[in-house]
Amino acid sequence: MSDLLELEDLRVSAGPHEIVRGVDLAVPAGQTVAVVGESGSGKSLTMLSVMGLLSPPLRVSGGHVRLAGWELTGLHERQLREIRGNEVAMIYQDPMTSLNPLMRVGEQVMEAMTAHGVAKAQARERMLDLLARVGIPDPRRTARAYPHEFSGGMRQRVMIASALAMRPKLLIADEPTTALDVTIQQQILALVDELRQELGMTTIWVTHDLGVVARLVDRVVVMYAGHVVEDAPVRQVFAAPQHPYTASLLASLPDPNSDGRGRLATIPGRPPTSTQTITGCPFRPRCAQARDICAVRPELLPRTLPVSPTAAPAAAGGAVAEPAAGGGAAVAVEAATTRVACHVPPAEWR
Amino acid sequence: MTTAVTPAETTVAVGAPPATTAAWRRLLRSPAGLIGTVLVALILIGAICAIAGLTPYDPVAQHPRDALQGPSGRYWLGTDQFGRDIFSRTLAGIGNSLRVSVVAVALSGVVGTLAGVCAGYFGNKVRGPVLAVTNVLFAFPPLLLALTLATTLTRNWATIALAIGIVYVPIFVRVTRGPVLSLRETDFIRAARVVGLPTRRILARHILPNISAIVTVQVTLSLSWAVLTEASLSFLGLGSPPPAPSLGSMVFDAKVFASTAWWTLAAPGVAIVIFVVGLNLLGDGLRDALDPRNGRNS
Repeated sequence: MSDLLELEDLRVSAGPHEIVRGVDLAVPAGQTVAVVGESGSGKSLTMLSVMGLLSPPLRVSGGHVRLAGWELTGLHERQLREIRGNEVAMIYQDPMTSLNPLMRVGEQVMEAMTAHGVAKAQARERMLDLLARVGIPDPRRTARAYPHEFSGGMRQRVMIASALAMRPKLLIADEPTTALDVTIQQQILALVDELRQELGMTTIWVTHDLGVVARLVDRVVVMYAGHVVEDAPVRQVFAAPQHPYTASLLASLPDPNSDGRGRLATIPGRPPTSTQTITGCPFRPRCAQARDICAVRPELLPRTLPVSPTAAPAAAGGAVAEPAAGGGAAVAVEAATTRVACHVPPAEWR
Repeated sequence: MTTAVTPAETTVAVGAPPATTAAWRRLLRSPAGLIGTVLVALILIGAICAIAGLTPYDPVAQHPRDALQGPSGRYWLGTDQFGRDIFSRTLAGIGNSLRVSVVAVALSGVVGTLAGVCAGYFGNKVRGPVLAVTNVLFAFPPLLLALTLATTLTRNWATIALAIGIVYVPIFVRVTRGPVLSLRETDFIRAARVVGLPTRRILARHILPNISAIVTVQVTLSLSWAVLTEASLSFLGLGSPPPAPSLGSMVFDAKVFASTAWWTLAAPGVAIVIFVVGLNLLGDGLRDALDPRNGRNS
């Protein structure tokens, strides 16, 4: 079992200010991971640096990105271009702006293939198949339409078609549903998940809404102020969050069983800005569990959990993530893969 | 899977003709656009006649016995001090002035747009030098440059076009750089990079088409300024050498006789006004017609 994507102490800076402050993350082939965190937590920047798409003044200021054994950091633009589309693809937040308004949608999907040397006629055939596969009605006709003739959901489908054109090994979905209606959201999520299983893609969902992807992922990585604070199997995260920040995030989700009259829980204060220097735990100023020891920066360390009755059935599965042969059965992950950056275990929380 | 789709089912005009047809319709529906188009069309017809040699008289042929005659059936707009037909000379002047302006604007449009796109799309290594050169050119008075070129090179219409072209390059750099800067951060450009498109293709197929409206408007407006600059240059005697007709030198020649023979001044003057006003109105109309916010479906 090798890791498809490996981030090692990845740092992204804008000028003198560090925004992503050392991210360690290993995603095995076939796994589906959610990277969650609030705006500004560095989750999107982390993913953009995987694609080599940071634009000045942003730059990777340290660490390594490895994809399928390739070292991506410091790679030449020409080589990066080979990898983009072929190995990694990305879908974006806002389908209204992610298609060129002056180009027919079919051409935009074809372009993703011709750029990688696929012959035009063949690209055309595949484009029509892809459009049909992502649920665009009558592809032959609609391929000639311009983006403004499409609804948001349709455009997102086109985006997905063009992202998957070269059958990438890794798909990064950067909040692909935030700009869509709730009903369309579900359709798009289901579509991407289906295609993921079909193509056996490793998938990373970047989102600030844990609820949206909870059912689709194997594992959740929680980011805060440019750090990974918790990295755990999804059921573990919901049943027994190990970091106070994760716990507060979950507590601030609306409870569908409440009568709706109580106030939602919030986290006091605000996250540190990128210009602030952080000593100790970045969450300390807002943390209800903060102790003296939190002035020392906690490392992201594996934590062995006492098997709790709620988490046990889910977490007791086999060793590691391997896409099931038929594709897509939920993957069980060992509880010991949980890593947390906090000095205070939940047992000691007040 | 084959599905026959009857036209009645289509709610959206899928594969509708590109936005250009709609833009033309919008242009001709606005008063400014309509008047501008008509005036520019008039000018073009005149210029084509002159270039094709379809003028009543040879523009440089002198008829000394008919010097300084008023408009009549024989000489529609009168004659100048050498008895040359003013109507023919005006048409030829328009042709000359159009040739200079078109070449000048084509030159500055191509060079300026390319430089502006590069300055906007690439990092500081390209941006710095391009903007430095642009600022220097901006500070250069067109008349001075034309004078320098006209004295160091040969003095003909191409030199004038070159001088005007060089001076107008910075306008196109400025006008295109900004939109490209913001375009390069849009999702669809990022998406194009994500699927691995080479930079040249991104520039040609994604960036350029999206700034074409801005460039089109700028070309029209620059043409009108180029006409004025060309007229000023030939008024000062820096244009095409006599006896070649040019609107500016006709105005210069006429200023002596203007009090007694008004028609010598009127014809080239009105021609310049029609030319400049027409291009400006057309530019305004195009700006509105090509603005994507005016709805693509109307």
